[in-house]
Amino acid sequence: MPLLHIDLQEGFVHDEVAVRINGNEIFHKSGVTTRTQIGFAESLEADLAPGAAQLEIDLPRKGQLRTLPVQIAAAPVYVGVSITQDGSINAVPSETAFRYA
Amino acid sequence: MANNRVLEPSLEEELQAEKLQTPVLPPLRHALSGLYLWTNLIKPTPSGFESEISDSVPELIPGVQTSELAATPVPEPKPVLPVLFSRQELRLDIDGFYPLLVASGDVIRPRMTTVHWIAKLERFTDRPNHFVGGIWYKEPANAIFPFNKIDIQVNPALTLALDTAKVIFSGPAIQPVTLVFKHKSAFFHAVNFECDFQEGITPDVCFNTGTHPNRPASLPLENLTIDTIYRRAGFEVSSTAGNAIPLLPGAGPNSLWSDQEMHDAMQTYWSHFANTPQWATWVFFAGQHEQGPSLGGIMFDDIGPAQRQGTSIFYNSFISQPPPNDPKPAAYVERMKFWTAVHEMGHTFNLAHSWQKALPVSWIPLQNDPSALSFMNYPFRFVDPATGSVSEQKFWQSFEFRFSNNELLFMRHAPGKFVEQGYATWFDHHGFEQMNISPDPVLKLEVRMNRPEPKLDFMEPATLELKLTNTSTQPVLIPEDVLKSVESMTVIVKKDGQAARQYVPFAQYCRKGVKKVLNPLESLYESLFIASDLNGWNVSEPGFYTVQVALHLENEDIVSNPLRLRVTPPVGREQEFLAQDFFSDDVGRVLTFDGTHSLTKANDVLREVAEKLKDQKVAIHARVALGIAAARESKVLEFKEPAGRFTAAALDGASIVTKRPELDKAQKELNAILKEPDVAAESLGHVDFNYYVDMFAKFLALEGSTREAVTIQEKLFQTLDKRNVKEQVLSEIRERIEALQGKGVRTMKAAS
Repeated sequence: MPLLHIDLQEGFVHDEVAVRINGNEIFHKSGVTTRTQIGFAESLEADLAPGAAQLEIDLPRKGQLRTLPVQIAAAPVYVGVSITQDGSINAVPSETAFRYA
Repeated sequence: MANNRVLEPSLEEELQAEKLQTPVLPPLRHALSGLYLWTNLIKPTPSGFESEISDSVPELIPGVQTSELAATPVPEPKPVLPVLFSRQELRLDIDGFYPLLVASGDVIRPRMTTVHWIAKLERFTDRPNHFVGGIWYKEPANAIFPFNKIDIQVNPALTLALDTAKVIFSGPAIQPVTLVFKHKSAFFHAVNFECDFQEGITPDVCFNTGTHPNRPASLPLENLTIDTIYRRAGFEVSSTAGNAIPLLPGAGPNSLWSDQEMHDAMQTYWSHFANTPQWATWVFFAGQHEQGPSLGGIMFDDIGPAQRQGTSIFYNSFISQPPPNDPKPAAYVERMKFWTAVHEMGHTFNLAHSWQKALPVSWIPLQNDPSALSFMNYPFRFVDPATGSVSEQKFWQSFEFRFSNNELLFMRHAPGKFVEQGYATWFDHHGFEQMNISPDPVLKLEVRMNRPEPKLDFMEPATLELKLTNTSTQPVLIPEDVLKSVESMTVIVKKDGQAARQYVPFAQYCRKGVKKVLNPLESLYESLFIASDLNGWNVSEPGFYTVQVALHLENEDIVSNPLRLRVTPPVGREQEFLAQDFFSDDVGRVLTFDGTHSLTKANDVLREVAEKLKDQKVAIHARVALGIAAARESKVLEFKEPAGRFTAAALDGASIVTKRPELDKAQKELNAILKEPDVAAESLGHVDFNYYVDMFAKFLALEGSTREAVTIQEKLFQTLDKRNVKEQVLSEIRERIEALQGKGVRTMKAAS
């Protein structure tokens, strides 16, 4: 099945993060923190059936929720999630895997 | 820094070894940039130190005393008598590779804190090698270093070693001091690199810039080494020969490295390893990190007291994979490996990524630049400024294999302890970039607390005061709400021993821009509540904290003094117990927004705190939040049952309910804080105390209790008058009282 890769990237500081796909929680963790020297915190992936899906990134303690529609096709889909300076969630899809150094 | 008179032996050998396809023309004279020293011999005496004037200190002002620099305030109009410093370093950055026209220095005195300063220089066009400039940075900010201008005349000799720089330090209310510095080094700092490698990995420390066709047309074609890059950045690089690190028994050639394993390898194999600051970096060329091929390299050393000493590059990762259809795949890979090594080593100098500069904690707040053409930007994240799109092609088309000017400014001129490996922890005081600070600022920003010592009781929320002053002789136009707009500030809070945090406010406001004239020597004041934000509580545990603020105006940034404050330990177990509920996100929000009707659990906590800790300053803040919420008419969205997800409130039977003010509750809470108004004013800060008490008085007047409203305003006046608040504020309070008196209440007696 095609894969959805989600990278939690910049701006996480001991955050509680929940990730849901089509309402089903696939990830829930506290203390998520970005390693600033590579701009990366956590990575997760999910097998999904092809088609449209609704991705939710939830920061319950900060009251922030971001919903992103994703289209799952044959090729893997990558989504990079960061918390911006004003505290909101930025989710950016990509056709290629993210790279860090 | 290259010169054609006397070359450093290692640099000469390197130039001869390079196969230059396009020659790099040497300058016509040797470069004058580098490190200069001034020394004054100090001999110990039974009472301390006595200075002996050395022959390197001519032109001292007559009558200078040689007493040591005591913490004496600068009297006016008499000048402060300057002292003879035991040693000074001057870093002159005026020519050579990537000259910044900057001077910086260290004043090193026995038994005293070293003072570091930085000045932006301007060159005299009609006087060779003569520069002047304003000193715009001083660390520590409260150090007694009364100079704000510098005049430098460099006197080149036939050989580098005989060059001198005559420097005149001057400032307000002080006689100038002239010192002559002698040339010490063509570089700003010395650093050692040791490169080790996993068995089977061949490190690439050199790259020929002509091998890949995608490059700037103006790029000199040369064999670049890592050492060369850092030499051009201003470092005297020495290299220690590396060794092959054997894989552990049982580990195959595709074994993965964890951060802990790399740290252990560093301690075992690095010949310079020491848990102490030193200008030295261990570079490890390995196969792959346990994170996988998506990680090309990492500065792994972010644990322990001495961080940023080691870094790794992973050859079995994406950096060895050329993109499809690349015209020169082998050269692409070589270039990526080279870039990765320099990039990771840049992190050991405390440089952050180009797009992270505004994140905590820079000792001078930064701005992000995802379009930076720098080793510290990912080529594959480069944003083409012309199109706003990410384009790796465009990066390599314009990249000149260098650091940005502001990264160079940091590496060359920031206090050494912020840059030196093993000193400041990772990301603390990291390389500042694009800080638009004027060399002659007309505005001064202070962050302070209106109390004898900047000390907070445990659980007392941190409310500071900002003061913005026009220090020039001309009126200045500024946004009227400049100090209310936290979104146009960068506020950094750092607890000793922990990573610094940037204050991220709960709310952002969009205001109509209205300008105001700030006359010469006039000041604006505003409170700044930094205790809690979207990231949690910034000031909570006992200990020492440092707070610094940068105000981002249209054409410049104004940086405040760093404020050092202390939180005292709890006074009892009950306080420790209540603190567990108090330091919550909800309570932080309630205090930030001055009360709530919805966050009922937070209100319960505040009531408990106000009751059980009634003698503690935290109770004042709790009562304000409870009292103001009771005093105001508010609208609340109420649901009949818990709301379902993603349904309209109306469909859930919700309605907006108006909560009427509750006079009794408001009076109970707010009168309590006025029993000791001086304590309340100190804890809340003058600005907020004035605001809350005025709000309370207005509420009383609206409810028909005019006489009580006058009494409250009178108490406010007397309290602030005793605390020497400025006359304008007192006048405004008088006017309020007079307005209330128009309703037939007795006349207030002015405080003596």
